[in-house]
Amino acid sequence: MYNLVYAAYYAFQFLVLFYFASINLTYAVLNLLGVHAIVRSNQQLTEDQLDRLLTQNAFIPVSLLVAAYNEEKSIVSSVRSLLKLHYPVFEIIIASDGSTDETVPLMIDAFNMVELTTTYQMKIPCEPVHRVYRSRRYPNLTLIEKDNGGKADATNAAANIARYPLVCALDADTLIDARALLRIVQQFRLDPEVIAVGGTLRPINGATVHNGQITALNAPRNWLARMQVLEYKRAFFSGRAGWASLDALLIISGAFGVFRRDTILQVGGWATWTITEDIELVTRLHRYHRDRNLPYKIRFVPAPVCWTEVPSDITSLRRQRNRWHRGLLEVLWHYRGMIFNPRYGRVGLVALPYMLLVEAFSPVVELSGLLFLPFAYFTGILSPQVALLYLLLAYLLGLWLTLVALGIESLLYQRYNDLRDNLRLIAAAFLEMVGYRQILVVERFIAMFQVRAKRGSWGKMKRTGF
Amino acid sequence: MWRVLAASMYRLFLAVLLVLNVLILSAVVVFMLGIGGVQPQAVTVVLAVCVLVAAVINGGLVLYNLVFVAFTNWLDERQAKHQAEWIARWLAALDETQPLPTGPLPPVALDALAEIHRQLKGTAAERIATLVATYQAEPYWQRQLRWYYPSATRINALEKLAYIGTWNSLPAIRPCYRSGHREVRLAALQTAARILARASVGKKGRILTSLADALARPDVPLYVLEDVCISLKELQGDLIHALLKDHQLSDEAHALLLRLVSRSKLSSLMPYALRHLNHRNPHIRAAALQVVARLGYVDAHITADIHRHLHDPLPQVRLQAIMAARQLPLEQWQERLWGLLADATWEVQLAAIETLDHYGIPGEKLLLQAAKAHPDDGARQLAARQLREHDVLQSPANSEWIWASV
Repeated sequence: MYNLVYAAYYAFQFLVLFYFASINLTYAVLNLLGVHAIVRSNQQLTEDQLDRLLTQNAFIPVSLLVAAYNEEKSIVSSVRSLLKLHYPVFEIIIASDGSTDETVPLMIDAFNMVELTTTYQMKIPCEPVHRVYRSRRYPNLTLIEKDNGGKADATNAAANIARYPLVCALDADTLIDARALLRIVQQFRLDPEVIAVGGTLRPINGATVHNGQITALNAPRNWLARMQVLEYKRAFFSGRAGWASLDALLIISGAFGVFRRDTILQVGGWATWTITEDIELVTRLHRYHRDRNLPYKIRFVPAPVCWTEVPSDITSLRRQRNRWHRGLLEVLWHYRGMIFNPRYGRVGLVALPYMLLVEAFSPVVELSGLLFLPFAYFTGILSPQVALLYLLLAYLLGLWLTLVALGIESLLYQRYNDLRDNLRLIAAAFLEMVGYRQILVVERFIAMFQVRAKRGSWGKMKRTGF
Repeated sequence: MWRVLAASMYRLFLAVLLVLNVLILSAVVVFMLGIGGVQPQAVTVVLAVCVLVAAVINGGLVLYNLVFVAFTNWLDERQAKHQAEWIARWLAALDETQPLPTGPLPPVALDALAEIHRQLKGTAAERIATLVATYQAEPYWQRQLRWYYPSATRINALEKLAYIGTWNSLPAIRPCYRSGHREVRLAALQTAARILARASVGKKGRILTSLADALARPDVPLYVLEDVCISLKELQGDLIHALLKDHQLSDEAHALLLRLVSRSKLSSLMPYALRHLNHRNPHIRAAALQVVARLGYVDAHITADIHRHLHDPLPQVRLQAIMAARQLPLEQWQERLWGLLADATWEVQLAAIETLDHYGIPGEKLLLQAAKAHPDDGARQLAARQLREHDVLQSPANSEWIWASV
């Protein structure tokens, strides 16, 4: 019996080790690919070239689509900051998704909006639109009032009414860098086959915002927010940059993503059945184009283009991660036919399996590894020295990835100028793997059993505003 | 710029870390498997070594991050301070409140001069250009174009020359068309175009030919082609002519060049557009029609082509055909226009409705007829909306009817 337990433990240990080694190697390769892509991107689009884009009238007009539900606290300031974007021609369409608060009256009042009768084709089905307003002061600002249907539904309604060839889906509380659109739209000019471009999202916690622009950036005081800063750096600079360079990017953040409008209309807009419509849309774009052998590219701009508030209390953070994990599982289940399917190239053979085995499945492996350790120790199977060394190694390799992501940003974007802020972030990097990560692993594990029960549920995040 | 240079070194650094990562993990996997009957103590030792290496790497990364931030903050501040001092000095010299600097100038002084040149226009810019010549700034950046300089340095030099460069820089820029580094090649093309557009002397024909040869390469992205053509301003037509005449271009490049012809209204290139009206590629057909529409070309020979393209399967072609057909008498294509009011593509439908505005009273009559009796619901609504935007319909009966139809 003891031998059986020992053999089982040994087999389990081997699997965990193999899993751990594979993940770390994948991260390391993505790191390398990501840095290479970032350096090239910076060389392709210098500040001088951005300036010249403006003077040459060589740009593509963009429609900004903003779904808003009960955003009375921040909608006016958000729209004001959008109106200041450094871009020649764009329009902003705010879709009030059945707001029950003062979102619509505040908008009408702040921007001198009048109701107008307009005719347009409803190419993507959505909940009924009752009224359309346009601002007298800002002719490129439109507000639509519709029945509640969810964020995706509201974005679809806005896409129906959009006039321009590119559409940019935004969250209502997202702050966009003044030159974000220039950087992103340049990708569409670089290559006509590009159908979608994602940008780097950064936590705005700790930043000083004045008139809709960030005037100073400091590391957040809140430790949770600091750790999320690190997570975002890893996810974007190493993860997404790396995947985009492999033409296998699966996520364009719902908070900021630019798409060709006719492509969005062709695939039927954003899906309303899932809570992570951002992953779902990009996966669907891959499937649509590969099924039809249509040439396409999905790109990523590593320069930080967009800022959003991240949860600063543990309850909101856990709800958010729970939602993300449930959404991921929903999408993976829905597109299970693509996983390990060679027809879908790197997306099917590499990216989706990674999402399944690493992102979706990792809570199971990590938790079982953690729970098995004390069992193995008390049954005498496990050598304490080996266990400790192994844990230390796992900790150090995880830390390695975070420090590399910090280094990339320091090197290329110099966002945190204050040495003390860098020290705070480095300290957070050391502490992240002790407690913070484990809490989120547990939450993601719980989410695996709540996919059906909590379908469509977003949860609430406590916002402090900026 | 130094930041981009440092990034290249960071890539190498990361590659080394990747190899170390592989070695560490391989060692762990191999020894944990106990291949060859390795003793448990050996497993512990291997793990301990791996932990030590990983700890050292992490320590190095922490130091790197902190030292890098501290050092670069200092460097950036120092550079900004020096540049600000030199900008102030140059501006004072331009105002003649201070004498011009003497002696060999440091690179930061030349950078400051280029920065001022970038910002100032008019006579001030001309005076800066004189200073640039006096202080030999151009040769300084021309030297940095040489093959042995890093690509970031060469790109930086090309950007400076794009603002201050003269005809004399073109021979130094030409070898960059063949650089092994893609971003350098593209930057060289764009810089050459901007210099050519400014230059008032010189045999531009030969330079344009070599530029066209470089642009016609298949690895040149379309946006660079567009950028170069737009930058050339009055010389744009000559370049497009050289490209279309002497080179095999991709269909996308052809379409782009034709769109530039219509955008810049280069009537001398109309024959090329007419030759491409019936091209097999629909995007080229659409671009050629756009030229006809924007340049206002009316010719009996192409009327049949326009009529045919009103039925094209590609919406963009139909759209441009509508724009081109606006120059024809309404009665020549009224029946087809009526059908296009119900086009499946929104933009085509809208263009058809708006076309009726061009035809004065006959167009309004048709618009009214469409609002009342077109079999397509969308066409009726669009026509009604178009009529509501006009103040010409004074008849209450018509107004009531129009409001009721929505």
